[in-house]
Amino acid sequence: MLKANPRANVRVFVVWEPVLLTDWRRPPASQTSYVPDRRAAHYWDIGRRLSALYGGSANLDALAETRHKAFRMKNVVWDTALVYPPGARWGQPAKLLVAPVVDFRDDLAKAIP
Amino acid sequence: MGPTSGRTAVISTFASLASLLAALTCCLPLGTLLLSAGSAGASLFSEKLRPWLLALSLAALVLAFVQTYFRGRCDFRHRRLRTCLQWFSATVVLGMLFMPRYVSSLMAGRLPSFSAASDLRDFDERQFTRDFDAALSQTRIVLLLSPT
Repeated sequence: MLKANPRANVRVFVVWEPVLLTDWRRPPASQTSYVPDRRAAHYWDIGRRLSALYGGSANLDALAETRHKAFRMKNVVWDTALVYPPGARWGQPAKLLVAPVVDFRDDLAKAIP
Repeated sequence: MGPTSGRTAVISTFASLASLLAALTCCLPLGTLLLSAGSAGASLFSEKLRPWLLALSLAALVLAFVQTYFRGRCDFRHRRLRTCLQWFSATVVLGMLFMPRYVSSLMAGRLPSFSAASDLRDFDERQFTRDFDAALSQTRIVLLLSPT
């Protein structure tokens, strides 16, 4: 998606967090190769702080104006993408929320300017 | 080998592989297939059952190996194809536990990458919100993902 839009004025924050049983250790730096774009910044969120900041999965509906969800999350917000328009500050609602990401990649691609 | 213990070893090996496959529905095309087929519960199913299915894989594998190698009357080890299957199963199950990212990459038809594209920083709330607001003039996408 980023490859297809090399000139898009976009910044991507990839936050890796332990959710599944197999996420029992810190991923290696090569984890970043999954989103190799220079516009992407990668974080390892061992305490799932960002999910907590968002208010957990119970608060999903308040996080974005438009939401496409195809699975129910237990407690943690994961396999989710949120798109914020230029000018939106941290704490303001996103324009779009999709989960799981792979199912709504077309919607996500459309949201990239 | 008594026919029963040999059969148990084979069944255990297959059970191990089957439960592992079920556990992997998150990262295999099968998961996507189930989801796209309209089964909204598929992801929930795999998320909830995944730990149990992995545990079942391990248990079945241990049983298969015990039947094969620690019971004197079992000559299963001499049956090449089934022994290969058993070791293959062990490799996949242990690989999934200890190198989940590489195994799931391979199973999804991609070669795993060993080189980093950029830094992987520890998440810090203040730094993150600073980085977020620093890109105010841009469209920003926040992705929350499981590494495996």
